[in-house]
Amino acid sequence: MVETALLLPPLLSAIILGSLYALMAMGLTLIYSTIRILNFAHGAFFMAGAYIVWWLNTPESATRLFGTMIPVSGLQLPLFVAVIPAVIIIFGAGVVTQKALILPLIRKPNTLITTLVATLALATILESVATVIFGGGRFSYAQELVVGNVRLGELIVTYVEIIQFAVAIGVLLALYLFLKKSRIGIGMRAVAQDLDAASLCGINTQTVYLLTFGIGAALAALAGFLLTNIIFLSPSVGATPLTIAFIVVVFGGIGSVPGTVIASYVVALVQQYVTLLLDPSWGLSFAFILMIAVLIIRPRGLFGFKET
Amino acid sequence: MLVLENVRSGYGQVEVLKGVSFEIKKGEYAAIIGANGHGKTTILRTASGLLRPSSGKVKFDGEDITGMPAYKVAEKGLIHIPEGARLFPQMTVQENLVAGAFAKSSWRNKAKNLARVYQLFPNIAERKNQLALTLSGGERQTVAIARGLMAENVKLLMIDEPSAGLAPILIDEVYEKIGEIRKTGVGVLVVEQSPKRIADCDCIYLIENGEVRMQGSAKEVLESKEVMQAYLGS
Repeated sequence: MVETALLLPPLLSAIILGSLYALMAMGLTLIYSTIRILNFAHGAFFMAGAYIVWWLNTPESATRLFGTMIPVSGLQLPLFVAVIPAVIIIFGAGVVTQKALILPLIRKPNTLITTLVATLALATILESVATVIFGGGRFSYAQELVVGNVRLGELIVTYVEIIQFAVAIGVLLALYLFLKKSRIGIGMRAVAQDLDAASLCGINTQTVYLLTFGIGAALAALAGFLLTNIIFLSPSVGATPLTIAFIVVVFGGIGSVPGTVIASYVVALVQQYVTLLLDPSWGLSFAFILMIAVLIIRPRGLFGFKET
Repeated sequence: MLVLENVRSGYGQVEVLKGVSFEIKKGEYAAIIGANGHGKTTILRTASGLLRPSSGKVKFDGEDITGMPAYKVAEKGLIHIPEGARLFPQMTVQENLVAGAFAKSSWRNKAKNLARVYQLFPNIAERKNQLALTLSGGERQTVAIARGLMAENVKLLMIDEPSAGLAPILIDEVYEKIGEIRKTGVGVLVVEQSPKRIADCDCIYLIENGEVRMQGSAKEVLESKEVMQAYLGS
């Protein structure tokens, strides 16, 4: 029998982790609901964002390191400063991906499959590039984002966890307001719901696609930065977050924003309690099993609605 | 205002319009009629830029807009309201209207235009926070027309089958609204399957097999033997 006191820490971890999952998965949701493609390069953007932060932050001098092709920056930017150019660069990479890779495929038949393969190829290329530049080794940020923790009775929460939670929730709320109120946000929702009707409203759907892909990629980069404060960085680090994001997105109802948020917390809860009660290695498998069970009953996921 | 010159257009290999020409003048109230599947909707889709004509020219307000993307055509003030209203179902009535003001020049004046549209259609003002998918057919059609009017400087409104799927009393209402819009100086082009309710048009075009079979005043066209044939068979 597990004591009640033991059940609380996983709940807290699940809330923090669930927020990070939601941040990661939201990028996929936005891109799917607006552009109607599955972006398998999402994990690679996660990885690339985290590496750019590392590169801008590392205290190593500008000499060769790990057999690198390019020297480390030597800039030693603080982590919370380095994240800003990283997110902007990945936003730009997303825009370029949409323009150069997705756009040529999207007006042709079989879009879902061709873009899936193309983004998978992009993910593989980005992983290879990271391996060539940084080597295959695992490393972490040179310092902690912030040091310290707070005690809430029996619970200990690190400042890093608080920042992860606050940034994820803050960005998701800002995104909600952006989609609800801003001109571009309303345009994105209009394009997602009826492409032709959106064009007839004067919405330049190509521009909306570019911005959507950019924003989606930027969200992955931000999630990559936040998570890399607690996990090791390696060229393949995006694989697990990508898998989790896909579970969350399909489970919540593909394309549904509220579904994505709720499913993120459900998956994080399942993972944390399975880890506590069974074994850490089972966490992801149980999340998958739960998703399949839900899909058998509700093939469109928790909040999926019929496409018109 | 809107000129089509020998326009050929269609979907893939299927040519629907086989050389359509007509001219709708500034502020005019015109109608396109004809049986289903003869190209009425294709005319609107080609004019508004959703379809690119394979040959021929489309001109609007003196400018060649052939092949121009739909969003730019809308910015010029040629507004196409598609069949079935095509609202954004998961957005509220007000968000739908605001989406109609997406063009930068319209966005600046969206508060003013919202007030104007709500004044014109008070019944949808009451429903502004309702999701579009919860509206009745008549309300949807009204919101679709209102969304078109959210664009700054609307010059010509092309409405595809405003009466489709509506009860007769609601059709009367929709046409009443169209009458009110015309009073503001905006030109209107409606596409209808049936020749009812367009007796007060300035000009009617009968479309058959992707061509203009007949054109003229409402009286000329509606009382012609061509229309009798098209609708009653003979």
